[in-house]
Amino acid sequence: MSDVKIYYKQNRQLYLLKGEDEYEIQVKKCFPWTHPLEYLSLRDVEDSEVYLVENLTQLDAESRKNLASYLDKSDYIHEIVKVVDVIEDVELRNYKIATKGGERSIQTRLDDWPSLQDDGGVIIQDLNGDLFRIPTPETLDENSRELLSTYIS
Amino acid sequence: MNIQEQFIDKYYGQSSCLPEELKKMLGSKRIELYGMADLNENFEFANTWVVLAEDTLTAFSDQNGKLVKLCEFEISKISSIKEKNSQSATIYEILTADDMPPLLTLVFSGRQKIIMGHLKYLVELKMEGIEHNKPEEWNPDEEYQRAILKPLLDAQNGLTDKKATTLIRLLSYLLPYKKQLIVGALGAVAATTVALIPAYLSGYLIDHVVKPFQKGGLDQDRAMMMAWILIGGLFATYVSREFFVWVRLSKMSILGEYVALDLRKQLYTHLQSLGLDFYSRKQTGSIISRVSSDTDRIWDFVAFGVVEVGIALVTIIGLSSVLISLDWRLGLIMAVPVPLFLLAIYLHGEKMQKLFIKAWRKWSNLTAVLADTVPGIQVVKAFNQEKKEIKRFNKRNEVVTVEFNNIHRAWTRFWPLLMLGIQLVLLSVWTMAIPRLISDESEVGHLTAGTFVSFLLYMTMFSQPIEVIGQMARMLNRALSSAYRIFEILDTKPSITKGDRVLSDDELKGEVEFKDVTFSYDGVRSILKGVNFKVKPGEMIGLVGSSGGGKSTITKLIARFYDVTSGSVKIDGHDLRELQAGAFRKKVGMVLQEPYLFHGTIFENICYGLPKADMKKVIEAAKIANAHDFITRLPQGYETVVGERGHTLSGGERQRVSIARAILHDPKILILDEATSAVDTETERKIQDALDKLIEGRTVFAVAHRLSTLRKADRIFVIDKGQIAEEGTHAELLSKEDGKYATLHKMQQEMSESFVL
Repeated sequence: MSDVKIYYKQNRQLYLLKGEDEYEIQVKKCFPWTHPLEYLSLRDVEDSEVYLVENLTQLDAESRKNLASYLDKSDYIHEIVKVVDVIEDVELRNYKIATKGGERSIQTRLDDWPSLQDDGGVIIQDLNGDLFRIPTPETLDENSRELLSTYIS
Repeated sequence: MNIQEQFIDKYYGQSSCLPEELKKMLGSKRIELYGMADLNENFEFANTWVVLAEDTLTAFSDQNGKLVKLCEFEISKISSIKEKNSQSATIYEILTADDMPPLLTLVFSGRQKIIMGHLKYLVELKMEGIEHNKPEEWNPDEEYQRAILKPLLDAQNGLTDKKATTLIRLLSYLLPYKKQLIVGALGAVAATTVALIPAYLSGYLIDHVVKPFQKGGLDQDRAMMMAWILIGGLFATYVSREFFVWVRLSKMSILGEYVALDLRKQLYTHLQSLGLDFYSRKQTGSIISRVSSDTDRIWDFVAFGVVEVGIALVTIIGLSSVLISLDWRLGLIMAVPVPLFLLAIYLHGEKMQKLFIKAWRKWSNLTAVLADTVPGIQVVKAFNQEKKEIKRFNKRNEVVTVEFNNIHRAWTRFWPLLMLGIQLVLLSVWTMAIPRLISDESEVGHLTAGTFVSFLLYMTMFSQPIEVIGQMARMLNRALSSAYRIFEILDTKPSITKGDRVLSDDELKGEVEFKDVTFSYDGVRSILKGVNFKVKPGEMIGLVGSSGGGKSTITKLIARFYDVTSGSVKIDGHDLRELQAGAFRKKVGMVLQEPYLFHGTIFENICYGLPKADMKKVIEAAKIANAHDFITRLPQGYETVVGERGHTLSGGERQRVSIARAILHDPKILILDEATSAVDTETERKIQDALDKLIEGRTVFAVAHRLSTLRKADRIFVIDKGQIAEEGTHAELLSKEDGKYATLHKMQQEMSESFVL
């Protein structure tokens, strides 16, 4: 068990206590797609690593809970539940989609294709860098799959 | 609604500015900037407007379609703004104290990130008590629209015109060539019209010569004479048709070249007038392709597209009219299915486009392997990865082949089917025509053999124009896309204001003064914040400090690559903005870290911009620059051609050629930007020696990381976070023990000593 503690303060920021030193931290994942819960780099406000969590099991239960709560937010990716339309316009592709958080129109460049993940998921990164994920194309209705087929099959 | 607002509505479907009711709710407070947090804390899409008005921050949220004030607090209450980034959102937590919950939490998507970043920056400035120097034309609505549209407009190459406007603008380039255009268009119309004659003459020959002769109504001599006249008519028709085709092709293709020539001229001239801000925004490849392949596409469209489509329309309408007038029943059988064929071609085009997109996607996967391995072939070989790379390439190669085979399957199925469709129509014409053909001449509805032959010949002319019209949409889109890309550059205004004052050699002494200079590349974040200094003619100034502090920005303002955001830069008492930029820059010399040599001889490179410089002066300059010796050792001396970026010369040699160029230009003001940082110690000594000779009698600004290179500087400015943190001579600055310069000097000395040990 590690000798560090991870906790929230009233100001809703995450802190690390290492020995006698306290750091306000942010968490960066070394392998966000393949090993999202391993090798977590805890970084101070200057963005320097102050601790590397190799595995969550090395933390005590409370620290684990706090870190998991933090990751819930920092991991967030919009999940696409329906593709309403895909329109190609001058130099860009416009996807009208429905996500769990509501409807949205997102744009990509014409030569930016959705990327296929090893787990069968599909990621679309829009012009602003936001990620939109489809867990698997099978979760979509037939019309959505048909609209996307050109870009993912 | 302006074009930005239309774009926001079309693509984002959100408000393009702060709603009026919220502006009213803020009363008389002056709104400085606002942004939108478009997500809530559960990452659902939402609308929370955040407004910075004077010294307060106010948030309004949309609750069931009604905008309500969420909170309002003074900036002085904020202790810090914490930023957290997730894959799909950014979170700002505005804190007042460590033991208190945040005053406000804002969650937003990447679309709002630029404007929210600007807002955070302005709030943080206010927290530090610094007033933001806004340009006169500052408008929060425009700032908001510009920021959220930036990624979209960058992707669309700044497209702000409607398609119709762009097409009209593109066609306006034909105006100077009205004569050729009219001749070419008349040629096209004449060729199309004449092409309709042979079918008519053939029918006439059968009905009025062959048939009457066979029935005995015409004697042989007269029949032969009429036949020869008609054959002569056919000959004249074919010859005149090809003549008109030649007129059309020659006029239109040359006309297309002239339009492309005008566009390229205009583009290149305009590119030369644009500031460095434009070049820093655009990729080199993208600019080059606009001058080359985009103008080529326009040529193709003007030379063939415009007329091809016109001819196809004229042909279809002409053919339908002729067929209906010849025999309305058979004519209608031919004409009615035409829209169906057009629709089929259009749908096929759409399908093909999807298949091409798929193939293009797979093709880019394949070329990505090449882009990876060809430049990195040394690494591939060093790690013995050839087999793995071959396997990777072959796998993608096979996938591409599958996609291209799908394309071939699609079109090879479609065109025979379409032709079958056209032939079925032909068969219908036969089916309808036969009973009428073999009916008695006196019967109502009897069809003569000649009319039917004309019909058959006209029918063969139907398929080609149908195909052209079916492809029209794609041809037009391609040309418009290229036109957008070209017009984007032509519509970019030079960021440097035009001055017309030219200082004579006597007037230009080399005095440089910065008065309260503030500068920002993006209009919001200041890189220089109120910089003040005055440099006497002939003085050498060293600029040191950490990267990103603003050293190079100072030199770029002196060379007038950019204009100041506020304050002024004065040269011998004249505001730089009043001076003609080109004439002034001739008096400014620059020696950069990576000197650029153009493709040409060393001689041409040294006297670049001074084509009348004589050999003696070039050699003198090369001698002062310590370049003469190595140049004369080259087999072709000063006439050695150096590559596109001077690759045949070493870094130090290129640097000395660029110093010779600066010496020859005899500048009053000299800028040295890390001129010796990319070379070895021996070469550095030679370059330093050359520079020492170059700086004599000139006002010099030298940017350097290695403090030893500034030993001759009269004064040194330590630039930190956009301001002059320290100023003085080397000795004066060293005497400030805890000063930045002294600390930097100590660190460099320690490094040098540890290297010796």
